[in-house]
Amino acid sequence: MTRADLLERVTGFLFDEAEMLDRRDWDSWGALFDPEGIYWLSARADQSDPLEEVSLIYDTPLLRQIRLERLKNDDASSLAPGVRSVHHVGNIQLGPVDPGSEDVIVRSRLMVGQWTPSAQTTFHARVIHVLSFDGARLLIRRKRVELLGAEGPLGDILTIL
Amino acid sequence: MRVHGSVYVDPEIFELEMQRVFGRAWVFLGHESQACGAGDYYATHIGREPVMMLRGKDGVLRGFYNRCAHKGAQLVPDGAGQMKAIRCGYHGWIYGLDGALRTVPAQKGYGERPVKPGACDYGMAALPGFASYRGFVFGRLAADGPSLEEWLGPMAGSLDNFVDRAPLGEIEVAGGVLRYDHACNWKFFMENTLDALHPMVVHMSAARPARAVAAQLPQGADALHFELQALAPFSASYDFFDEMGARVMPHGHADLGGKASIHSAYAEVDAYWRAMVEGHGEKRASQILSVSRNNSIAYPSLMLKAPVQLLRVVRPLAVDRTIIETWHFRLKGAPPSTFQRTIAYSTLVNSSAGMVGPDDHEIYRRMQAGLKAGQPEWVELGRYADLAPPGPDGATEVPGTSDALFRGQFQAWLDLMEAA
Repeated sequence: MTRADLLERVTGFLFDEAEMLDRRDWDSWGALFDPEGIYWLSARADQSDPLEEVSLIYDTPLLRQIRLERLKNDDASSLAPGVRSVHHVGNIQLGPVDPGSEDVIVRSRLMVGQWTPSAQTTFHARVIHVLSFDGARLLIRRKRVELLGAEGPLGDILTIL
Repeated sequence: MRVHGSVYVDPEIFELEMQRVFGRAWVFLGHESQACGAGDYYATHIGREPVMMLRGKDGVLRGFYNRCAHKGAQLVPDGAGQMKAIRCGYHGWIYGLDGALRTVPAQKGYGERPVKPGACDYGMAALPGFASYRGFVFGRLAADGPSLEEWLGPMAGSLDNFVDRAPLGEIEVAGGVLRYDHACNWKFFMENTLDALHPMVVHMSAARPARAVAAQLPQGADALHFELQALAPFSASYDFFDEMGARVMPHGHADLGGKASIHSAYAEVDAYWRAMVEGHGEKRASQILSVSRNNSIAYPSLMLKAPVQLLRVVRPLAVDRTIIETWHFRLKGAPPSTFQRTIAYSTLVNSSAGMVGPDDHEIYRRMQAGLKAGQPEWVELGRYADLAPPGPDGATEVPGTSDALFRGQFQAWLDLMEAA
């Protein structure tokens, strides 16, 4: 696959992911992850350690399962009034390809509008996806979201960024 | 036994609270480990007033208003930092680390007065009250009142338990901070941390999926996942919460839990227990760890969660806006896994994107909205109206779901609001 083909492929992947999140299609989104895939929403721009420094989200596969179950139920008070989102993905760049590794590193910028009946918020973030091919399919091995202003104070983040 | 709904929604009452509750009480500022070396400062607020603690060259930690004595610019940004001297970014007045004025540019125009380097009346204004207890630093805007130890009373024992959980008897702030913006009155948070009738309703949404995922794991495997143990007890029964007990203390302080808590069933970490035995001896170690409190409150703005080594601080901004900060502590001498639990817990529960915090916040929002209703005027506080007499230390033991915990806060509130 040429670099241009790969870029087109990962661009489609990120757009599909955004679509799943906006449709709140949690099962499909969860299935984008490698069985050991990690989702990390850091609490500081240069945060390097998710185990000894607090994060906004650091989901192992087990925690992702709980989080997605909670999102699917309608009994959480914060979700009950209704939450909608619009994910815009841009500035998509392929990272350096390490010939010794199967990983595809993708950097992008993300802008998410989150709406609830009580507040509309816009989030801006830099995102790094570490993807890998499982046959013809791309899977997320690691997704790191660096939210602008993650240091807070932050209101509710009720959507997955 | 009731409180008028306007105390949560009336902006004029909020203004009075800033003058009289936050203006008169000992208010938590931070921990000594946030300013260890000469020139280290930590800047925060008491109510809405900017203040800082600053470590001098003599090693003494002092409390100041964070305001230049000249025209009033804030001297250092909020949060932690380090300075050789404090220089105002507006006209260049420079203060020493003891707060005394050192140099003033173009001084001759002032004559002998009012500014004169070294004259303490033009130094940074010292906080009228500044004291610490076992590393927890408090400030007070009022000059007069009880000493910090008198103010804390039996609550000091809850601070002790927080620190004693360190095998080496010392703790330090670590692991970053969460700052969560809440669209509600500050008192909802302070009450909710003692409210044992809400978890099974509000947090079932997190506990149920956690229990469902745990049930799919091979038997016993859930013990390997601290996060499952952290979330599942949020749906514990009313009887469990009643029986774990609570203490109501003078000045609005309280503990929820004691004999047990939602944290008591966590799998023990062998290395931590061994370190505790080494540090304190077996008898003392088991005494320290036999006390398990969900939350302790040092009124009006501090909540401690000793078994998880974190604390939360309330910063009121307006009648319907409050920032909640969460700080984490490393127990000196404990294995890394102990601190990793603290971080895992906070990420899951206290974050703006967590599985617990946003659901509490939504309820506070509904309280803020509902209490604007003119009828009924009063909020009910009568559950478990009959109290046993207080013990010799002044603390009263009550069931975990008793409204006495909130009555205690409002008694302190009333005392401060009515004091001359």
